[in-house]
Amino acid sequence: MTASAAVDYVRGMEHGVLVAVGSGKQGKSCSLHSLLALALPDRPKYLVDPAAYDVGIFPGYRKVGRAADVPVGAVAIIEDVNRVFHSRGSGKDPTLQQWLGIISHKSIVVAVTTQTMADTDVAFLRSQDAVVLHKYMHAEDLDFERPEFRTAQAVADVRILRCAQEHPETDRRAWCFFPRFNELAAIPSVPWWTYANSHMLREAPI
Amino acid sequence: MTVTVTTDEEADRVLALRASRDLPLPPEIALCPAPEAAALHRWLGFYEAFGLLGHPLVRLFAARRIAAAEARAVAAAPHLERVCHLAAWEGRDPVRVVDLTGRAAGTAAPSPPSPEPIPAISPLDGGTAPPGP
Repeated sequence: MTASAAVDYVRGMEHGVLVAVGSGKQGKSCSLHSLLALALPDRPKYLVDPAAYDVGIFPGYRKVGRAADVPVGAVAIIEDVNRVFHSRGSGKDPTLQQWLGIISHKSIVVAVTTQTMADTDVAFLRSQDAVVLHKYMHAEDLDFERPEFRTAQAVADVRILRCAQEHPETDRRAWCFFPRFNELAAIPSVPWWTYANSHMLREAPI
Repeated sequence: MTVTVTTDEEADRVLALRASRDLPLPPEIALCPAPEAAALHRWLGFYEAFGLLGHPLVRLFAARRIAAAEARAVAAAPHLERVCHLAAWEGRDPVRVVDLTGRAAGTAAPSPPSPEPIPAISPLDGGTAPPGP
Protein backbone atom coordinates (compact mmCIF):
# COMPACT_ATOMS: atom_id res chain seq x y z
CA MET A 1 0.00 0.00 0.00
CA THR A 2 1.95 2.98 -1.24
CA ALA A 3 1.00 6.61 -1.40
CA SER A 4 0.11 6.17 -5.07
CA ALA A 5 -3.30 4.77 -5.99
CA ALA A 6 -2.18 4.18 -9.56
CA VAL A 7 0.79 2.00 -8.59
CA ASP A 8 -1.43 0.04 -6.21
CA TYR A 9 -3.93 -0.56 -8.96
CA VAL A 10 -1.27 -1.76 -11.41
CA ARG A 11 0.09 -4.01 -8.66
CA GLY A 12 -3.31 -5.67 -8.44
CA MET A 13 -3.80 -6.00 -12.21
CA GLU A 14 -4.06 -9.58 -13.37
CA HIS A 15 -4.63 -8.66 -17.01
CA GLY A 16 -4.95 -5.36 -18.79
CA VAL A 17 -3.26 -2.72 -20.88
CA LEU A 18 -0.81 -0.02 -19.78
CA VAL A 19 -0.30 2.76 -22.30
CA ALA A 20 2.51 5.31 -21.96
CA VAL A 21 1.91 8.37 -24.16
CA GLY A 22 4.21 11.30 -24.68
CA SER A 23 6.47 13.02 -27.16
CA GLY A 24 9.83 11.54 -28.02
CA LYS A 25 12.54 11.25 -25.37
CA GLN A 26 10.27 12.24 -22.49
CA GLY A 27 10.98 9.12 -20.45
CA LYS A 28 8.10 6.85 -21.52
CA SER A 29 10.10 3.61 -21.72
CA CYS A 30 12.09 4.23 -18.56
CA SER A 31 8.97 5.05 -16.57
CA LEU A 32 7.10 2.10 -18.01
CA HIS A 33 9.85 -0.38 -17.15
CA SER A 34 10.27 1.23 -13.74
CA LEU A 35 6.55 0.99 -13.07
CA LEU A 36 6.60 -2.69 -14.04
CA ALA A 37 9.58 -3.30 -11.76
CA LEU A 38 7.80 -1.50 -8.94
CA ALA A 39 4.34 -2.98 -9.36
CA LEU A 40 4.79 -6.33 -11.15
CA PRO A 41 8.28 -7.50 -10.17
CA ASP A 42 7.52 -11.23 -10.09
CA ARG A 43 6.00 -11.68 -13.52
CA PRO A 44 8.11 -12.72 -16.53
CA LYS A 45 8.57 -9.86 -18.97
CA TYR A 46 8.66 -10.28 -22.74
CA LEU A 47 9.57 -7.67 -25.31
CA VAL A 48 7.41 -8.10 -28.42
CA ASP A 49 9.41 -6.72 -31.31
CA PRO A 50 10.33 -8.01 -34.77
CA ALA A 51 13.41 -5.77 -34.86
CA ALA A 52 16.70 -7.45 -34.01
CA TYR A 53 18.37 -5.91 -30.98
CA ASP A 54 20.17 -7.31 -28.01
CA VAL A 55 17.69 -8.08 -25.23
CA GLY A 56 20.59 -8.62 -22.80
CA ILE A 57 20.60 -4.90 -21.97
CA PHE A 58 17.27 -5.53 -20.23
CA PRO A 59 18.20 -7.86 -17.36
CA GLY A 60 15.72 -10.68 -16.89
CA TYR A 61 13.72 -9.87 -20.01
CA ARG A 62 13.05 -12.16 -22.96
CA LYS A 63 12.24 -11.28 -26.55
CA VAL A 64 9.63 -12.71 -28.89
CA GLY A 65 8.89 -11.81 -32.47
CA ARG A 66 5.12 -12.27 -32.37
CA ALA A 67 2.50 -11.36 -29.80
CA ALA A 68 1.06 -14.88 -29.94
CA ASP A 69 4.31 -16.28 -28.49
CA VAL A 70 3.91 -14.50 -25.15
CA PRO A 71 3.15 -17.17 -22.52
CA VAL A 72 0.46 -17.21 -19.85
CA GLY A 73 0.86 -14.83 -16.94
CA ALA A 74 3.57 -12.73 -18.55
CA VAL A 75 3.90 -9.02 -19.19
CA ALA A 76 4.16 -8.18 -22.90
CA ILE A 77 6.01 -4.92 -23.57
CA ILE A 78 5.67 -3.34 -26.99
CA GLU A 79 7.91 -0.35 -27.60
CA ASP A 80 6.56 2.15 -30.12
CA VAL A 81 3.44 0.18 -30.80
CA ASN A 82 2.62 1.65 -34.21
CA ARG A 83 5.86 0.19 -35.48
CA VAL A 84 4.76 -3.31 -34.47
CA PHE A 85 0.99 -2.99 -34.98
CA HIS A 86 -0.16 -0.68 -37.76
CA SER A 87 -2.53 1.98 -36.49
CA ARG A 88 -5.40 0.92 -38.75
CA GLY A 89 -4.39 -2.72 -38.84
CA SER A 90 -7.14 -4.09 -36.62
CA GLY A 91 -9.70 -3.16 -39.27
CA LYS A 92 -7.92 -5.14 -41.96
CA ASP A 93 -6.33 -7.99 -40.04
CA PRO A 94 -8.00 -9.80 -37.14
CA THR A 95 -4.75 -10.84 -35.42
CA LEU A 96 -4.59 -8.02 -32.91
CA GLN A 97 -8.25 -8.22 -31.97
CA GLN A 98 -8.01 -12.00 -31.56
CA TRP A 99 -4.99 -11.65 -29.32
CA LEU A 100 -6.45 -8.84 -27.22
CA GLY A 101 -9.63 -10.86 -26.84
CA ILE A 102 -7.80 -13.61 -24.99
CA ILE A 103 -5.29 -11.66 -22.87
CA SER A 104 -7.78 -11.74 -20.03
CA HIS A 105 -7.87 -15.54 -20.25
CA LYS A 106 -4.08 -15.72 -20.43
CA SER A 107 -3.57 -13.17 -17.61
CA ILE A 108 -1.27 -11.09 -19.76
CA VAL A 109 -0.59 -7.44 -19.01
CA VAL A 110 0.24 -5.56 -22.20
CA ALA A 111 2.49 -2.53 -21.69
CA VAL A 112 2.66 -0.23 -24.68
CA THR A 113 4.68 2.88 -25.54
CA THR A 114 3.51 5.39 -28.11
CA GLN A 115 4.20 8.99 -29.11
CA THR A 116 0.57 9.91 -29.69
CA MET A 117 -2.77 8.13 -29.39
CA ALA A 118 -3.73 9.44 -32.82
CA ASP A 119 -1.48 6.95 -34.58
CA THR A 120 -2.11 4.09 -32.18
CA ASP A 121 -4.58 1.32 -32.81
CA VAL A 122 -7.55 2.02 -30.55
CA ALA A 123 -8.23 -1.73 -30.32
CA PHE A 124 -5.76 -1.66 -27.40
CA LEU A 125 -8.17 0.40 -25.37
CA ARG A 126 -11.55 -0.94 -26.43
CA SER A 127 -13.11 -3.10 -23.74
CA GLN A 128 -9.83 -3.51 -21.90
CA ASP A 129 -8.77 -2.63 -18.40
CA ALA A 130 -6.60 0.21 -19.67
CA VAL A 131 -4.40 2.46 -17.54
CA VAL A 132 -3.03 5.37 -19.54
CA LEU A 133 -0.03 7.28 -18.27
CA HIS A 134 0.77 10.62 -19.83
CA LYS A 135 4.20 12.15 -20.23
CA TYR A 136 4.96 15.60 -21.53
CA MET A 137 3.73 16.18 -25.08
CA HIS A 138 4.80 19.12 -27.21
CA ALA A 139 2.12 21.59 -28.30
CA GLU A 140 2.48 20.69 -31.98
CA ASP A 141 1.69 17.05 -31.23
CA LEU A 142 -1.12 18.03 -28.86
CA ASP A 143 -2.95 19.68 -31.76
CA PHE A 144 -3.13 16.37 -33.59
CA GLU A 145 -4.03 14.26 -30.59
CA ARG A 146 -7.38 12.52 -30.38
CA PRO A 147 -9.97 14.74 -28.62
CA GLU A 148 -10.78 12.15 -25.97
CA PHE A 149 -7.15 12.16 -24.82
CA ARG A 150 -6.37 15.80 -25.46
CA THR A 151 -7.83 17.16 -22.23
CA ALA A 152 -5.93 14.78 -20.02
CA GLN A 153 -2.75 15.35 -22.01
CA ALA A 154 -3.08 19.13 -21.69
CA VAL A 155 -3.59 18.78 -17.96
CA ALA A 156 -0.60 16.45 -17.79
CA ASP A 157 1.58 19.00 -19.59
CA VAL A 158 0.66 21.80 -17.23
CA ARG A 159 1.01 19.65 -14.12
CA ILE A 160 4.32 18.08 -15.16
CA LEU A 161 5.90 21.46 -15.83
CA ARG A 162 4.64 22.80 -12.54
CA CYS A 163 5.82 19.76 -10.59
CA ALA A 164 9.21 19.93 -12.26
CA GLN A 165 9.55 23.47 -10.97
CA GLU A 166 8.33 22.61 -7.48
CA HIS A 167 10.54 19.52 -7.17
CA PRO A 168 13.85 20.51 -8.75
CA GLU A 169 15.73 17.46 -7.48
CA THR A 170 13.42 15.06 -9.37
CA ASP A 171 14.00 14.58 -13.08
CA ARG A 172 11.22 16.08 -15.19
CA ARG A 173 11.02 12.86 -17.17
CA ALA A 174 10.13 10.86 -14.06
CA TRP A 175 6.70 12.48 -13.65
CA CYS A 176 3.66 10.61 -15.04
CA PHE A 177 0.06 11.69 -15.03
CA PHE A 178 -2.61 9.02 -14.56
CA PRO A 179 -5.95 10.59 -15.60
CA ARG A 180 -7.88 7.56 -14.41
CA PHE A 181 -6.65 8.12 -10.85
CA ASN A 182 -6.28 11.91 -11.15
CA GLU A 183 -2.74 11.50 -9.89
CA LEU A 184 0.72 12.73 -10.82
CA ALA A 185 3.43 10.32 -9.67
CA ALA A 186 7.22 10.47 -10.02
CA ILE A 187 8.32 6.89 -10.59
CA PRO A 188 11.87 6.02 -9.48
CA SER A 189 13.85 4.70 -12.44
CA VAL A 190 15.29 1.20 -12.32
CA PRO A 191 18.99 1.12 -11.45
CA TRP A 192 19.98 -0.72 -14.66
CA TRP A 193 18.65 1.91 -17.04
CA THR A 194 21.41 3.32 -19.26
CA TYR A 195 21.90 5.13 -22.52
CA ALA A 196 21.82 1.79 -24.37
CA ASN A 197 18.31 1.09 -23.03
CA SER A 198 16.87 4.38 -24.15
CA HIS A 199 18.58 4.08 -27.51
CA MET A 200 18.02 0.37 -28.03
CA LEU A 201 17.05 0.68 -31.70
CA ARG A 202 20.18 2.65 -32.59
CA GLU A 203 21.95 -0.27 -34.28
CA ALA A 204 18.90 -2.33 -35.19
CA PRO A 205 18.23 -2.71 -38.93
CA ILE A 206 14.77 -1.59 -40.04
CA MET B 1 9.73 35.27 -13.82
CA THR B 2 8.78 34.94 -17.48
CA VAL B 3 6.00 32.62 -18.51
CA THR B 4 5.69 31.66 -22.16
CA VAL B 5 2.46 30.00 -23.22
CA THR B 6 2.13 28.31 -26.59
CA THR B 7 -1.28 26.78 -27.13
CA ASP B 8 -4.18 26.95 -29.51
CA GLU B 9 -7.53 28.36 -28.55
CA GLU B 10 -9.07 25.00 -27.74
CA ALA B 11 -6.28 23.86 -25.42
CA ASP B 12 -6.35 27.35 -23.95
CA ARG B 13 -9.97 27.03 -22.99
CA VAL B 14 -9.35 23.60 -21.52
CA LEU B 15 -6.46 24.85 -19.44
CA ALA B 16 -8.42 27.87 -18.26
CA LEU B 17 -11.24 25.66 -17.09
CA ARG B 18 -8.85 23.46 -15.18
CA ALA B 19 -6.73 26.27 -13.84
CA SER B 20 -9.81 28.00 -12.55
CA ARG B 21 -10.16 25.18 -10.05
CA ASP B 22 -6.90 26.16 -8.42
CA LEU B 23 -8.28 29.53 -7.45
CA PRO B 24 -10.48 29.66 -4.34
CA LEU B 25 -13.54 30.64 -6.34
CA PRO B 26 -16.86 28.83 -6.34
CA PRO B 27 -17.53 26.80 -9.49
CA GLU B 28 -20.54 28.97 -10.33
CA ILE B 29 -18.19 31.79 -11.32
CA ALA B 30 -15.97 29.58 -13.43
CA LEU B 31 -18.68 27.95 -15.47
CA CYS B 32 -21.77 30.15 -15.80
CA PRO B 33 -21.78 32.89 -18.43
CA ALA B 34 -21.39 36.38 -16.92
CA PRO B 35 -24.99 37.72 -17.21
CA GLU B 36 -26.42 34.58 -15.63
CA ALA B 37 -23.89 34.72 -12.80
CA ALA B 38 -24.78 38.40 -12.19
CA ALA B 39 -28.51 37.55 -12.07
CA LEU B 40 -27.85 34.68 -9.71
CA HIS B 41 -25.85 36.82 -7.30
CA ARG B 42 -28.45 39.58 -7.47
CA TRP B 43 -31.11 37.05 -6.51
CA LEU B 44 -28.93 35.70 -3.70
CA GLY B 45 -28.09 39.21 -2.53
CA PHE B 46 -31.77 39.83 -1.74
CA TYR B 47 -31.86 36.92 0.70
CA GLU B 48 -28.39 37.66 2.02
CA ALA B 49 -29.58 41.12 3.07
CA PHE B 50 -32.14 39.42 5.34
CA GLY B 51 -29.58 36.89 6.59
CA LEU B 52 -31.42 34.00 4.94
CA LEU B 53 -28.59 32.55 2.86
CA GLY B 54 -28.39 29.45 5.03
CA HIS B 55 -32.13 28.78 4.84
CA PRO B 56 -32.81 25.32 3.33
CA LEU B 57 -35.41 26.64 0.86
CA VAL B 58 -33.06 29.37 -0.38
CA ARG B 59 -30.30 26.81 -0.78
CA LEU B 60 -32.64 24.47 -2.62
CA PHE B 61 -33.75 27.11 -5.11
CA ALA B 62 -30.22 28.44 -5.55
CA ALA B 63 -28.98 24.93 -6.32
CA ARG B 64 -31.76 24.53 -8.89
CA ARG B 65 -30.87 27.82 -10.57
CA ILE B 66 -27.18 26.90 -10.66
CA ALA B 67 -27.93 23.47 -12.10
CA ALA B 68 -30.17 24.98 -14.76
CA ALA B 69 -27.55 27.59 -15.70
CA GLU B 70 -24.88 24.91 -15.87
CA ALA B 71 -27.09 22.71 -18.05
CA ARG B 72 -27.67 25.67 -20.40
CA ALA B 73 -23.95 26.38 -20.59
CA VAL B 74 -23.14 22.73 -21.27
CA ALA B 75 -25.88 22.36 -23.91
CA ALA B 76 -24.78 25.50 -25.77
CA ALA B 77 -21.10 24.56 -25.95
CA PRO B 78 -19.43 22.67 -28.80
CA HIS B 79 -18.47 19.09 -28.11
CA LEU B 80 -15.07 19.35 -26.47
CA GLU B 81 -16.13 22.25 -24.30
CA ARG B 82 -19.20 20.32 -23.30
CA VAL B 83 -17.06 17.46 -22.06
CA CYS B 84 -14.78 19.88 -20.21
CA HIS B 85 -17.69 21.71 -18.60
CA LEU B 86 -19.12 18.46 -17.35
CA ALA B 87 -15.74 17.24 -16.17
CA ALA B 88 -15.04 20.47 -14.32
CA TRP B 89 -18.51 20.44 -12.80
CA GLU B 90 -18.40 16.80 -11.70
CA GLY B 91 -14.79 16.44 -10.68
CA ARG B 92 -13.99 18.89 -7.94
CA ASP B 93 -11.12 17.01 -6.34
CA PRO B 94 -7.62 18.28 -7.11
CA VAL B 95 -4.85 16.28 -8.75
CA ARG B 96 -2.87 14.31 -6.17
CA VAL B 97 0.90 14.64 -6.49
CA VAL B 98 3.01 11.72 -5.24
CA ASP B 99 6.80 11.63 -5.44
CA LEU B 100 7.85 7.99 -5.15
CA THR B 101 11.51 8.64 -5.88
CA GLY B 102 12.02 9.73 -2.28
CA ARG B 103 14.66 12.23 -3.23
CA ALA B 104 12.63 15.22 -2.06
CA ALA B 105 12.63 14.21 1.61
CA GLY B 106 16.16 12.85 1.36
CA THR B 107 15.00 9.48 2.71
CA ALA B 108 13.86 6.24 1.13
CA ALA B 109 10.27 6.78 2.31
CA PRO B 110 7.91 8.37 -0.22
CA SER B 111 7.31 12.05 0.48
CA PRO B 112 3.78 13.00 1.60
CA PRO B 113 1.39 14.37 -1.03
CA SER B 114 1.12 18.15 -1.44
CA PRO B 115 -1.37 19.88 0.89
CA GLU B 116 -4.97 20.38 -0.23
CA PRO B 117 -5.72 23.72 -1.84
CA ILE B 118 -7.82 26.29 0.01
CA PRO B 119 -11.46 25.12 -0.07
CA ALA B 120 -13.70 27.40 -2.13
CA ILE B 121 -16.04 29.68 -0.21
CA SER B 122 -19.46 29.33 -1.74
CA PRO B 123 -22.05 32.08 -1.10
CA LEU B 124 -24.59 29.36 -0.34
CA ASP B 125 -22.81 28.52 2.89
CA GLY B 126 -23.68 31.89 4.40
CA GLY B 127 -20.21 33.30 3.86
CA THR B 128 -18.34 30.82 6.07
CA ALA B 129 -15.89 28.31 4.64
CA PRO B 130 -17.15 24.70 4.45
CA PRO B 131 -15.51 22.18 6.82
CA GLY B 132 -12.25 20.63 5.56
CA PRO B 133 -12.09 17.13 3.99
